[in-house]
Amino acid sequence: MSSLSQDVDAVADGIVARADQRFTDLRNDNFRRIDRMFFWLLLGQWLFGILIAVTVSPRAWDGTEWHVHQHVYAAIFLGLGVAGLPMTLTWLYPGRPLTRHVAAASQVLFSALLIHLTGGRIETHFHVFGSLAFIAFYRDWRPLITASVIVAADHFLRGWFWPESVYGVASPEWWRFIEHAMWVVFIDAFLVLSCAFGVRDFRAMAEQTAQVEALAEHAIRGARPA
Amino acid sequence: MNASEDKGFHHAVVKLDGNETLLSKAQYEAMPLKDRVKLILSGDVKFFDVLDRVLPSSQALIKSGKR
Repeated sequence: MSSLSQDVDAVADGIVARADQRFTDLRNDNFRRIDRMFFWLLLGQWLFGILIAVTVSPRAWDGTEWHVHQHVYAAIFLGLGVAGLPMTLTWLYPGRPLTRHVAAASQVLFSALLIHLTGGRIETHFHVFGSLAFIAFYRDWRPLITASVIVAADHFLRGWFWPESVYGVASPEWWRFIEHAMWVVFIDAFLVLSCAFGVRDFRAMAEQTAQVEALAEHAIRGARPA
Repeated sequence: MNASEDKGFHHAVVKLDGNETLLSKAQYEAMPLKDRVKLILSGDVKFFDVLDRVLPSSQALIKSGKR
């Protein structure tokens, strides 16, 4: 191998290594950006849950006596329990895989909480799809799986033990959780695909920059006196 | 700007082992990055639009990439 081709080889190795690093940086920057968005989203949802509970069912009556409805306590304390850990992780450890999974799990648990607070209204179930779409902003399919498993498990367990809380009726068909889970699988198929496209875009950006870098290097070499 | 320019290059001619080879955009982009970088560094690649006109490499590459 001539010294010229060895030189080209070495320069190419450097450019490819920088492209790999650029790809990693693009992905990590995106993970951190979405983690920060989740911090504010979780905070907003916690406050929204309290607002819903206070607006819809602030008091429970027992004759002429009243006390604060358990939904208000659920919204405040259960909501804080669901949002507390992911908000801490997204603030202190943004960009880490564990942070993404906890944020994804928390996001769909908020869907569960809101469904409960609204008495199992079917319309509130749409929050699940919004949550999954938001999780897909990570451009990482794995947190989507975490979230989807939790949605299915939540529907199964609450459907079995407390069906009014999730479906708003006392005796739903035993298989209703499967129907809901299948709709989640349906949207997941597209969201996983969108994650793959997103990663491919990051790779294309990194490679494009590498080739332009090579072009600039080639121009500099051509301009150098022999 | 016409449609062919907007999509970047259409095909490339590369010099591999001393022989010139025509590659479609997809074939060129399927090559490992290191091979593409080496071709550019050694000046062994030319880019063409759909009308077989040579494109400036900077223009061809800025609009390249598997999207």
